[in-house]
Amino acid sequence: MDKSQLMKGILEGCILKIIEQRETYGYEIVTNLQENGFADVREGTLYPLLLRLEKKELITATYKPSPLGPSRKYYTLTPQGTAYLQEFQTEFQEICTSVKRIFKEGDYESTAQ
Amino acid sequence: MNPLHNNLKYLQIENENDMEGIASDKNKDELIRMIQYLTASSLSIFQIEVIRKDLIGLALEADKEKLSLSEKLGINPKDFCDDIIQNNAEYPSLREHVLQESVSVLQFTAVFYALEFFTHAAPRQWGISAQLLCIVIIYFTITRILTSYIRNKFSLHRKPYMRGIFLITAILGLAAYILITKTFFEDKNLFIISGNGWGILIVLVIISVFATFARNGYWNYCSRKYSY
Repeated sequence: MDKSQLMKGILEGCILKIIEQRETYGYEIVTNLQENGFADVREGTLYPLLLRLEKKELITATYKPSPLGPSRKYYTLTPQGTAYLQEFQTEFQEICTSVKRIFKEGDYESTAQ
Repeated sequence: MNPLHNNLKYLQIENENDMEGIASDKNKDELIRMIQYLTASSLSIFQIEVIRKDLIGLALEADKEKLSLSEKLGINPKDFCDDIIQNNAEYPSLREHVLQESVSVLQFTAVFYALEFFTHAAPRQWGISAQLLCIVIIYFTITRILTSYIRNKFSLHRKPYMRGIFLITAILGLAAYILITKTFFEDKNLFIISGNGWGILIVLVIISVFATFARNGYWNYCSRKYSY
């Protein structure tokens, strides 16, 4: 099954949630996502998403010196990002509830047959 | 933000310096190809430099982890670039190039007008001569555009002999200027615009200064927009 369509909207919400917890940078976000089950996410998939979130003004980026080389981009959530995240959480919960209900009812019907 | 500062120039110099730190030639070449691909898409010049800065960071991390840039990205570099291009709604690079070159033309014209004016002992009546326009056109077509074309076409970025190529095109430009002025303008001063010599000089300087501030103001705006 092609997961990419499912992933598109979900990843943005997850990224915002990670950034909400503290100011962070790309590699940390990727590691966090991978540790939480998004094993296929890499820097190349993350970067365009972060650009899109910046464009929508949901996050801001600042360059800060890095001990390991050139300055790194750190991301923080904007007030619009916080509001968007809350909306995402609410809608995601609603969708999850509906999907679980359908699958549960589906299971009941197939068992009854 | 300071109108005297050209943030695009600072970013480009920073990127050129940081590129030196990439140990792997393969990663360097891959990065250059990605930037060339993005440049062809007409994204903002400033945004491309910011993306280049971020890719340089990734390439340096890839070097440390003994990975290629493609492996570090985890996706095909072309798909990565296409994703970035698709996520942008505007493609202002043409007007940005026009802005850059227009300001350079004005600055160049002001400098060469001043040279001509003072070498002729600052006469009261002077003007912008056909020879001056000739050298401006030769400079911008031969040395800047041709050098840039050669560099991009043959991927000669950062090759040590690029400076030699630039010097050769500058010499060719100078030779073309001398030949054209000797042939068409010998012993003549054909003025396109004439008037009070000092007045024209002051107007040119003021226009160049304002144009420079306007250009720097635009790059400052881009600096805020693209988080640099």
